[in-house]
Amino acid sequence: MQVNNRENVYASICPGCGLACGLYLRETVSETGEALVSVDFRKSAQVNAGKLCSFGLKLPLYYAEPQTSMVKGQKSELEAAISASIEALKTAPVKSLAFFSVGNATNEEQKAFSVLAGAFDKDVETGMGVYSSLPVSMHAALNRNMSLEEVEKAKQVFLFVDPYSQYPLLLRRVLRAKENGAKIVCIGPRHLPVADEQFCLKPGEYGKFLFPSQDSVLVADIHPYSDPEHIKAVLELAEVSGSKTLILKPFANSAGAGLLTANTKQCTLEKLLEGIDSGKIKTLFCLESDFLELTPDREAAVRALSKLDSLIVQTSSRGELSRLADIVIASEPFYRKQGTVLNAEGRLLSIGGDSTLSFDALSSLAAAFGKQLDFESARKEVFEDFGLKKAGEFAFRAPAEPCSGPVETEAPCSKYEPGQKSCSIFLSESLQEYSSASISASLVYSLSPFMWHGLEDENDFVELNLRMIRRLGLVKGGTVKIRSQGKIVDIKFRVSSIEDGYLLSSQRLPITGFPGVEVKFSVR
Amino acid sequence: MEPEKTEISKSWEPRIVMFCCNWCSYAGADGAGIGRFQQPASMRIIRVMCSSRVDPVHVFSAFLEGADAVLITGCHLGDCHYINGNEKTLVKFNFMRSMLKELGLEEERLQLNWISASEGEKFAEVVRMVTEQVRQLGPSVLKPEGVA
Amino acid sequence: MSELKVAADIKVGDKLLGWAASEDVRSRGASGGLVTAVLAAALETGLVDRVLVLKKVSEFEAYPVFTSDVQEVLESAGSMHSVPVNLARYLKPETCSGKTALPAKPCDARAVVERVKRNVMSSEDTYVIGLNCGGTMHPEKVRKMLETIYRLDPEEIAGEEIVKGKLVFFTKDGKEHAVPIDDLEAEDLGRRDSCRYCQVKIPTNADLACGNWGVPGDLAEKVTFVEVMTEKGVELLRNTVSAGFAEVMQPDGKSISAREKVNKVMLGMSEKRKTEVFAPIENGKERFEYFRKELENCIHCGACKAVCPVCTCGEDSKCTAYFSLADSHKMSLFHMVRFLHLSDSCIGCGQCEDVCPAEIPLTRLYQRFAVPVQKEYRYLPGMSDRTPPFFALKLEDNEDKEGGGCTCR
Ligand SMILES: Cc1cc2nc3c(=O)[nH]c(=O)nc-3n(C[C@H](O)[C@H](O)[C@H](O)COP(=O)(O)OP(=O)(O)OC[C@H]3O[C@@H](n4cnc5c(N)ncnc54)[C@H](O)[C@@H]3O)c2cc1C
Ligand code: SF4
Ligand code: SF4
Ligand code: SF4
Ligand code: SF4
Ligand code: FES
Repeated sequence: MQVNNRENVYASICPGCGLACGLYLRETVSETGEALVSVDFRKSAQVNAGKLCSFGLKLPLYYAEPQTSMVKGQKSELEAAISASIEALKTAPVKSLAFFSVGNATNEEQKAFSVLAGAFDKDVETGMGVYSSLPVSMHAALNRNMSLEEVEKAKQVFLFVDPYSQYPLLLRRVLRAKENGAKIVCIGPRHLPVADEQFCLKPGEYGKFLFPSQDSVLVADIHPYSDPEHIKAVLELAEVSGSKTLILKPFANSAGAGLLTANTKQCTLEKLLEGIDSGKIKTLFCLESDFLELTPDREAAVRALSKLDSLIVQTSSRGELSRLADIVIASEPFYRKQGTVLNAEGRLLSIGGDSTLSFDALSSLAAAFGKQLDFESARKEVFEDFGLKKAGEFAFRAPAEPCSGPVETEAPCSKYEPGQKSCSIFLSESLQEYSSASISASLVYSLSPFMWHGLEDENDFVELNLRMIRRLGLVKGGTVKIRSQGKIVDIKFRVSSIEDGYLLSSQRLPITGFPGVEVKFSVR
Repeated sequence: MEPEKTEISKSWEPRIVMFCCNWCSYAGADGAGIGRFQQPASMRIIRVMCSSRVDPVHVFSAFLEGADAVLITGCHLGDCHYINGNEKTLVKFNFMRSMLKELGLEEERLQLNWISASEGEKFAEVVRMVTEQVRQLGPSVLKPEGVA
Repeated sequence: MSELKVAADIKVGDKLLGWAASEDVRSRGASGGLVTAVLAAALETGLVDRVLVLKKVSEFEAYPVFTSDVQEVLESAGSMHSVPVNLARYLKPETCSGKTALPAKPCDARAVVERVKRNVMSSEDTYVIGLNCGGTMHPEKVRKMLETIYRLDPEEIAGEEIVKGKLVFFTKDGKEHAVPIDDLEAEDLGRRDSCRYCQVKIPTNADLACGNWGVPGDLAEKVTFVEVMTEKGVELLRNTVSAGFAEVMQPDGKSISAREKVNKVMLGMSEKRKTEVFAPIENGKERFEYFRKELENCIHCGACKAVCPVCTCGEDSKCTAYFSLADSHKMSLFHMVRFLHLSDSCIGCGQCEDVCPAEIPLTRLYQRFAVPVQKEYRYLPGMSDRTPPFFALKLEDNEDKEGGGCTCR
């Protein structure tokens, strides 16, 4: 028997997070044209030496369902979806338009999207509200590049992220730094095995407890829920100590998307949602960005989105958002795309595919509004924007302008009472005051690639430390009831080594808004 | 920190998961009870149809959940009610034992013994012996934090 | 030198020198292009339906592909020391529905044997052209070597070779840059850790065992020494010679003994390294602490299992089915099950270690369990069709074999 399956191998990258790890995608196309993908290790990839986290390994699930174009709930040809979009954009009042893309699209697509938005005098929203809360002088620092390899050479590494769950391919760099003698200082509620020192601090306390030097690297991340105070404090700490920063980002092309939009006043998702809810935004165009997965309150988002005149979604993945959409422009799966992304290191990486389907859709939309852009010129512009001469693995973006002038500091440390040492102490003391009937904790999400992409992982549990579990009288195999703002969830739990007074979850809980929420437990 | 042998707290008592096959050793346990042979309360008996039903996953899970030792028992060789189940048990047992030993557990923490339905006294004797051995060893390194 | 050998005279046990008939293949092959000629002939004559070879991307990058295209086979000629892939892993029921041939380092060939035992494919339909192997290098380390030791730009490299214990890089300007492998390994560069204690250097478990050891100096890089191991090997080589793809001849006794000698030296070095690496940790608590410490950074990505060529369980496997992220055990059940399951079957190929994102020296960990077990049962996985000792139905089944049996009771 002869096998007639065709096999295509793409030297590709992982769309899971801002590290954009290298991998091979093996696509087996059966005689009937169905494509089955599997992931393979690309050991020569510079970012990750072929290693992947569980998200990377689960990419076949991510790529499982190809998208089809739709108009008003009916399957349609791509062209029909594009014409319908043109129609919708034409008839909509310019003021009520919004364009949204967090960074799952290529630089070239992002460029075309900006051009399209520009036709309406609009900027693309990336959901990174933190930009608008920080002084413009700090923006460059958020995009200053630094290779992961440099982390290995640092004398001290300050981790404001959890590499184990958030950016797993950072972990090996940190471990190597440690092997090379670096001290690893971790800031967060989870006690990490790699930590030499562990703190649980409020942004205002960084300056008081953390003493980085010029040989230190501070690793933090920005994402749609970033606390501006925290980012500001990290950048100030770096400024004062002269240490380097590596600012990670949650989407493969977050960095590219951020740099390609001229918008320095990015609004937060909440603001965007507000705009939709209040009717200020009547037409929303999402490019490879699942507004529902990203939004803090799913139910509220569904309600708000239904108020739109048109929701246009250009995407390769099937999610609930595309079911809500008035128009779906189906794009090819990420690995088939031709184009580049800029990862969190500032490395320009080629995706490795050869299709420009999605780009072409955007450029014909732009053309309908008088803006011409072909792929080659978009590519050229991207290179110019990044100050690069050639693509490929070795290309680094030229260093961004260093933060010029002194940063407007507001001496944030002084805002805090001297008594509040670290929140661990603070919280455990305050905990004592509660009777066991109303123990509360602050909910912290481990923002993993699974969460950002709405892909299920096997972590349908929350984490508490042993002490809290004892106080709540929980038994193994049971569940914990969590209450917040009138809503209750009943969920499995795990004993973890985390700070007192914290509840960690790596999946979104259907109870409340986003970060730092106080939740209460129901005691049986 | 693992407590040193001498510092083992007074409250600690060995907890041993014991697998008994339905046809021989479980009946042996009954016999031990009926005969009122003295034996410590350290055992948590799990009845299985045949000793060969005990999978390494069961043994490892027992340790990971806090057992200080695991004792597998079955019919004497040649007497297995499924012809040769216990011979397979023996092959598996040898593997598990070398694996657990290499991992750092004392050999005595995993034991195998053949006990027939009529050997109530032997049953009690084995239980006493294993419990005593484990008491000497102290708590297992695999015991999770917070488990007695 | 002796005469060319005719196809019909080739038989099991023959030790021959061979080379590709085509000048082009000879020049591109690692040493005479015999392996490429055998693969191409097998395809061309219909002896096999498909061939599994490496598709080159650069000097440091290649990926395995199944092909029925002779041209693609010809392009795959040459040894890629910086591509530490295990080819056997790609042999699956869905990829092996016809007859397949593949080149195989000892670890590839061993994995093929273990996969056959686990009914992934049949031995009759799989033709294994073995390659002697002194070791492979991880591309990340190669880049580091180029940067820190050779001080060369990876883009400048035109080729690479291992000559007389030295790793030689050829640059595009025609220059050679050689550094002894021992020096590299002293700095934790050079070959992969697992290759340094690998137990099989000549794949006597394959159908043909090809390599450059034993090739007389004047023929270096022009011919390959091949030993015919099985009837399938006879079939392959006869087919190649009679199709006019290659020529073979009898070497002299010196070649044969030279090959044996180098093999012995290499195995001796491996054995020494193995003794160093696996120096027993006498105290049980320290042993436990060693494993606990090494595994504490595991992020449970599952890559080590996915990449393991002797594990054929697929999605539903004992190590994953009973493991839960919700458990907070002292040690992961996933790893404990794998330690047990691999104790008789781990071939030490180093794949797990290569792909672990937490940089856990996994092969060392698995081998910690495998070394004593495999010694005790006198069982070297992947070298014969003997049932893995864990699957023996009774104790004597293990004792009957090459003596041994279990003494741990
Ligand atoms: C990594 C490696 C190390 C080796 N070390 C030794 C040694 O120490 N001593 C010795 O005598 N011989 C060694 N060999 C074998 C030797 O280099 C030649 O491959 C052999 O003599 C056959 O030569 P050839 O010209 O006929 O092969 P070719 O015609 O060049 O064919 C080579 C075949 O090997 C395949 N191949 C290349 N790289 C790999 C790889 N990494 N893994 C699996 N398959 C691969 C190619 O796809 C091709 O089919 C080694 C080979 C490899 C791949
Ligand atoms: S670390 Fe990020 S880029 Fe790498 S495999 Fe995981 S999700 Fe993908
Ligand atoms: S493990 Fe052995 S056979 Fe495999 S590449 Fe290394 S040295 Fe060669
Ligand atoms: S590859 Fe490494 S990190 Fe991933 S599961 Fe295996 S040991 Fe854990
Ligand atoms: S456990 Fe690791 S070294 Fe052993 S066979 Fe599997 S991949 Fe190879
Ligand atoms: S039935 Fe008792 S051991 Fe099999």
